[in-house]
Amino acid sequence: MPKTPELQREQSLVARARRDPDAFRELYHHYFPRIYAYISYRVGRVQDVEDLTAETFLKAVEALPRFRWQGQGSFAAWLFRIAHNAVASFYRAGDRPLEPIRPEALPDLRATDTLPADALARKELLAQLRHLIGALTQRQQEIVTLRFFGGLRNQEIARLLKLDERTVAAHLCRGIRTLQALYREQAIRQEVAEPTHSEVSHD
Amino acid sequence: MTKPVFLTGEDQKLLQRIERTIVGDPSMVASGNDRDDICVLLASAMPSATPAFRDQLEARLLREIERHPKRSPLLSKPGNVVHKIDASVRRGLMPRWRRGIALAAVVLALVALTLTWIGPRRVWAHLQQWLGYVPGIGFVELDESRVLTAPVALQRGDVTLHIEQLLARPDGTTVVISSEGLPPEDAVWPHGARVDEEFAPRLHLPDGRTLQTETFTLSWGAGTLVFPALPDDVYSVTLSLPGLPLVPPEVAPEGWEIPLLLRSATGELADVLFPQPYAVTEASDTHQGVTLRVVAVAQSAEETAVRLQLQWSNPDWESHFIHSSDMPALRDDLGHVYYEAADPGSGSTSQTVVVSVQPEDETSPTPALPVPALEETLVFAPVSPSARRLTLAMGGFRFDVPAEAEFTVDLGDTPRGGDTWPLELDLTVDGLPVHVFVASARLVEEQIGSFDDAQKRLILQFDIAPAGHGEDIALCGLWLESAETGFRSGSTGGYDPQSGQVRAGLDVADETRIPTGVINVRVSGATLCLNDLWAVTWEVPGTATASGMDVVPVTQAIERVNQTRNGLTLQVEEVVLTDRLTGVKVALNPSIEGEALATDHRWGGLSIVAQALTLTDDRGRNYVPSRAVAWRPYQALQPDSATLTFGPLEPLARRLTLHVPAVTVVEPAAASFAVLVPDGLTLALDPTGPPWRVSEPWPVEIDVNVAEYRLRFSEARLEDLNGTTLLALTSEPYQESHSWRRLSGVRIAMVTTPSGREVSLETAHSAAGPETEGSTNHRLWLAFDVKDPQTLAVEPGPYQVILDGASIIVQGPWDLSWALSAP
Repeated sequence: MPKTPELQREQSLVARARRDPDAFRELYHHYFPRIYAYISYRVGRVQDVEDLTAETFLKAVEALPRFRWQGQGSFAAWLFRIAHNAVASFYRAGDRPLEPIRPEALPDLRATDTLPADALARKELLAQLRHLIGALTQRQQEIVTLRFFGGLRNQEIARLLKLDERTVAAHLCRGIRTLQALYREQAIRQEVAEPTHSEVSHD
Repeated sequence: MTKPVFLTGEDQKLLQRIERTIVGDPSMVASGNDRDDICVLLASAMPSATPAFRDQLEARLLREIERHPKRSPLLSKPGNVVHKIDASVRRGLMPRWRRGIALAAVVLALVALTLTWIGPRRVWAHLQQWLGYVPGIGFVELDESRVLTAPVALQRGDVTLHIEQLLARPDGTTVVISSEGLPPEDAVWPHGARVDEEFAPRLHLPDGRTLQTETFTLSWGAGTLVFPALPDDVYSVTLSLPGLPLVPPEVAPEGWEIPLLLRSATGELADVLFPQPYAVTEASDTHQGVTLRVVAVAQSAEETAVRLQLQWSNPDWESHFIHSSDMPALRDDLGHVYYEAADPGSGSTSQTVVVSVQPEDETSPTPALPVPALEETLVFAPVSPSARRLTLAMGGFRFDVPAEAEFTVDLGDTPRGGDTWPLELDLTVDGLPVHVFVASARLVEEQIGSFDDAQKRLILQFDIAPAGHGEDIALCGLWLESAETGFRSGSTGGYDPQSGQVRAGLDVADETRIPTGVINVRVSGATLCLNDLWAVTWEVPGTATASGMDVVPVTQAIERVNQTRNGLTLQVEEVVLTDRLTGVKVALNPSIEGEALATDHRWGGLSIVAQALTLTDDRGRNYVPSRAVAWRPYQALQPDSATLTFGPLEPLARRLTLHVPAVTVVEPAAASFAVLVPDGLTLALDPTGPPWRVSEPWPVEIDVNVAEYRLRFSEARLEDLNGTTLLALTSEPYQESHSWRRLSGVRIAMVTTPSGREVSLETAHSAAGPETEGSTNHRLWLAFDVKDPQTLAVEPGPYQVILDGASIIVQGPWDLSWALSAP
């Protein structure tokens, strides 16, 4: 079957991006939010997130001439592997803050109707979710953040982490299940510790 | 604990994406508040960068690309990469009060710079944003006005009626029309035109009311029609003309009905223009027993959601989500091609549920088994409210299927990394035997990661090339298991669609204790790739028009708008205006023998070297390239790669200017040479580069003359990355003789192997540019795939290479300015 323009689109963008800023710009706008969100959950502090996001894209620009298209998802896997390695280097280099990160130092969350209007409250929500994800195994943390915040498909994660696609799916299911349990447990603890508004008014 | 929450569109999509991942595990799909809580939390908490950081990093990266089109010294200093970022990107290093002062100073400097550099004319144009001037109408308050979403045309026979503009103000509604394709007025009215007293244009409102003209000014086939004011909430009307102005019935068709959509002159498209979410029936396409069906659609000014169902007849096939290797595209009948929404928060991977569909034949006395199916929602860029017909195109679906095979590999007593064993393999996939003509196992040390933080692991890797690799259906994955101790579960492999080669693997648990002797390996399953194209078409409800009365976007031919720079003349040929994009077709004119615009770029072969390609209007508004919507000519099958697409024109723009910093042209050239690949080359991990395996470079002396360049390739090596083996040639340094043009690569016409096989050029690349930042020494680099798809080996000997063109970047800039057709 001849390739359609849609099929060739990202491949063409990647090939052109080496010398065509417009093509690179399109790729950048597509992947920047995903890389940023992924690194945010892996690292936390906004200044580190910005440094690692910048490092990821600068390395990508540098290595782009050597990238080889390997079918759909290969570019995403390649780019996220750079981000993944940047995060790994960050921790290995001992840059990880020892003390808990204050919510003010976290990135902001995209404002939505669901979230508190107050930016600090949104950051506390991010801290809560980071805390929950941090309780997963390293492998589950990687896969859950790549899947949900990096927006990668299972196949792309498998390619990135050199795992079987089914193994990725299994980690993902177990990770979500653990998150559910942790979240339920945390919610129960909160309810015990802080009576709801209606209970207070009855008193 | 569970509180009622109201999800925004983006939250809902992410939530659906999350739900999708838990399909396949019924316990996870169970309803309940727990699931809702964690999903809502995940869906809500998407970190977001500041626009300042995003934009500054983008500018920094674009500068890097511009400076280092091929190679940058950054790689040699990975530890310093972060420090190369502009200080302004890194926030929070300056005390707040000092940042405030600095910010105020920057604002003042920007204002001064704007006034002196841009000039008062552009500033005045910005001030005019809220006050428009329409020739023949005068100044209008944009805040209080509605205008056409885009000019439209209606063709009947040889005559085309254009609705140039509709301006709805508090004191009246003005419609400007014109026609083309009419005979000369003098031929019909030699003694002067006469107005038909019965000429009574009308505007029909959605609630059934009709407005009659208060006044009109007519000319041959054209006119300005003035109606009473429209009610505030009206955004769609139908213009009814008994005939074209001053045109007798025998000259042009009578009875014109043109649906028109309006928008606020300063705002977005109104939601009322879009249909309510609707169900779609009988919209499907079937290939190879797999049916793609569109079941529901929701359109809005922000996005278009398409609910689709994939259903297949073979109950042994499995799929947990709709995996399409083709990028899905949505096409309308006007000429737009919409791609998935770019924001990952609104990505296409929405809710997927496994459903069972009862076969349609319910009259059968024997109840049939339910047919397996999946449902999923894709999210695309917003569709034009004028679209009447939509087509979803997808392809490349994958299914897990049963597969059976068992084989043994004798690893011997002392297996080591790099050892290879041939395999005998009889494979049964989906009940059918698959002949495998070459298969091998090898123990490879694989590097995970790249640069300075790579990790290694040992894998028993299997390369399998099934014979009869088909175009429409292909084996594209194998799942391996081994009961032997010392191996972990199957590692992922890969699939090369060009050669059909499948790679799978088993991880060695402890590389210091590699299993020895004969091991048993079992194939537990396989993946099939179906490579047809599925196209599903449906009608948008409420958009039906009278037969032959389909309006289309206006395409305006542009004449005598050109500019010559450095020997190249660029001309604007055509402009198309819709409510979703502005398309500008640009070409070299006159075409120069021996030169042609490169056409391998989505935006018309224009390559931007120094700065962005921009489109601006006479009011100083800038239109960015359209990322998620492409244009194809009316009724054409494929997008028009020669048409640059930008965002839709803002109301009342009168003149457009296209700024083209540079173009890439391909100059024909004829050159050929042979490059000798020595026998006995081995590949090893490159310690200085990305995680790929390369051979030792070997010297070559190959002189090549292309265009005006005399080049010499002096080094060659093999480069292997995930199954592709490239022969890469690097030239000696050369210098450019002109400051306004430079070589950016060569075009490979054909490569033949020592045994005469023509190699696939799908992965062939070429690039040229400065070897280091700021250097005047340039190098040319050329690479093509030399791996034999049948033997999976690289044949030694002379490879014949034929080049047929040189890609040249020519600096401009070209500034092409033209007036839009005036009402």
